[in-house]
Amino acid sequence: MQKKEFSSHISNQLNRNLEELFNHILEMGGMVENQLDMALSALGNSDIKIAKEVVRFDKSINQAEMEIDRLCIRVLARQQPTASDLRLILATIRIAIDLERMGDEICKLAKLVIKFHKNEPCVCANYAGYAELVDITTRSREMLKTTLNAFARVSAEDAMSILDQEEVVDNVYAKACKDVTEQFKKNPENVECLLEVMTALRASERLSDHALNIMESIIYLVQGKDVRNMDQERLTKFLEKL
Amino acid sequence: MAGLKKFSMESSSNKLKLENEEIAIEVKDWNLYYGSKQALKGISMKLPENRVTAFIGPSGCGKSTLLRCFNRMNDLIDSVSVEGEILLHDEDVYSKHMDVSALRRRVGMVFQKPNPFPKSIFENVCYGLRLQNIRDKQVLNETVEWALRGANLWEEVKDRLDDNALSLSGGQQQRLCIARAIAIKPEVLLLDEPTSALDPISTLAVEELIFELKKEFTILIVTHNMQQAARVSDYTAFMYMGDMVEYTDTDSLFTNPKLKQTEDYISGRYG
Repeated sequence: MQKKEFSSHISNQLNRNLEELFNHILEMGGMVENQLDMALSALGNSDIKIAKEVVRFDKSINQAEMEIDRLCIRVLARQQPTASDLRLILATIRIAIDLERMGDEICKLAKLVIKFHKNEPCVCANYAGYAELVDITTRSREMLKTTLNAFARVSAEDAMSILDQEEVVDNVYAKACKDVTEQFKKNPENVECLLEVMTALRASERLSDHALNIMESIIYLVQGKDVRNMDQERLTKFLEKL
Repeated sequence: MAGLKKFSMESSSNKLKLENEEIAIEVKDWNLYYGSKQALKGISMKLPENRVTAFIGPSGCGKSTLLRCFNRMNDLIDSVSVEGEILLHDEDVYSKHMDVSALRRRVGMVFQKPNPFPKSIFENVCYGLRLQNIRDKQVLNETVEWALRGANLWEEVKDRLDDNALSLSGGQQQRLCIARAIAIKPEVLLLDEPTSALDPISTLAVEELIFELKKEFTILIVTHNMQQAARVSDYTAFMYMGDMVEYTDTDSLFTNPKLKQTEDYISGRYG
């Protein structure tokens, strides 16, 4: 399917609503991108002010998800969309859920800064796993950008690159977890800080999972194929055929 | 770094509310009897201006009977007797002084089956104008074009206005009947199952037309097709055995009806 198909119905009302939904997802995605940029900035500069703004902003992202849900319900109840239109509604609902959860994970990153910042650089920054935390978050940011661009183009072409990036993130995450575990043993007095880093690492890794979920929803939208839970080998084969 | 911008989505949040609407027709404690059988039972409702209001309900629930009260089509049935009040812009439709022909110019009607006259497309559309003794060729030409454009038929027939209307397809004939009804610029347009004889594509074309026409007219539509009511209307009234069961904005009725009886009907659990 192509984007122009959203505006080719006899019913202009349906055209308008689908276009509206499409744009709302892009807008919500943009909000999460901004929130993630600010979280990265808070992490990099140990900036508690920005971190607090990131946490406050989560309410707006939750609100966006609810508004998108409301519009989806309305379109389902009143316009009985079928085929690619129906897939757009389902994909939209799923993507909005993933974006909202990304917002929650980003808050966890910001809370790390808020918790450990004492008017001086975040103490956690000196510990194992922190550099990987910033690395994974930066990669997840790129993945989100790629998926939102794919959604905007209604194209699943970049799905393979998301899969590759996800694999890199998983490797960095596994190494970081190992390093932090080592630190637990060596410096048990830092356990509190290390646990927070671990939580933030998990959150940043979840960001990439959600970006992958969004790409799966885009594949469903474009190809009509549900690739969730497909094993890696089959998924790769499927994507190579696209 | 730029600050965080809030979500701009507002369009779908501005829910319709009857109390914020201008009212075109008010029905007060309206009862109708066919002989001794009561077909409408104490109906009271306000019908908003420049909106589409749909009447849904099973066969025999009284929705067409109610629709036909608004331009006194039921007067043509001898056994009918009525009680209560129907006000069209505060004017009593059933007053002794009401000129019924004038009323029907103000409240136009389109029926289930397309019923064009066996005349040219042009003459069909200007039929009502000729009855009003409008002879000015320019006025007739302009009105015919305006009505056919309004009915979304102009592009399809502009080069063959002299052709017999019966040569048009069913969907085109129904849009022609809508053009004929709006040519005399009524305040209210009554549509009694306007698409039940049409194919799905013509149905969608007429539904889109209804959505456009509400900018200029108040539209009341009776339909057996619940999905159609959901698609085209701003407000929906669910009727059952002569009672008005639930009447509210269409979003609420189809996503969260207040009464179980309505929920059962719209979700196909009826009976």
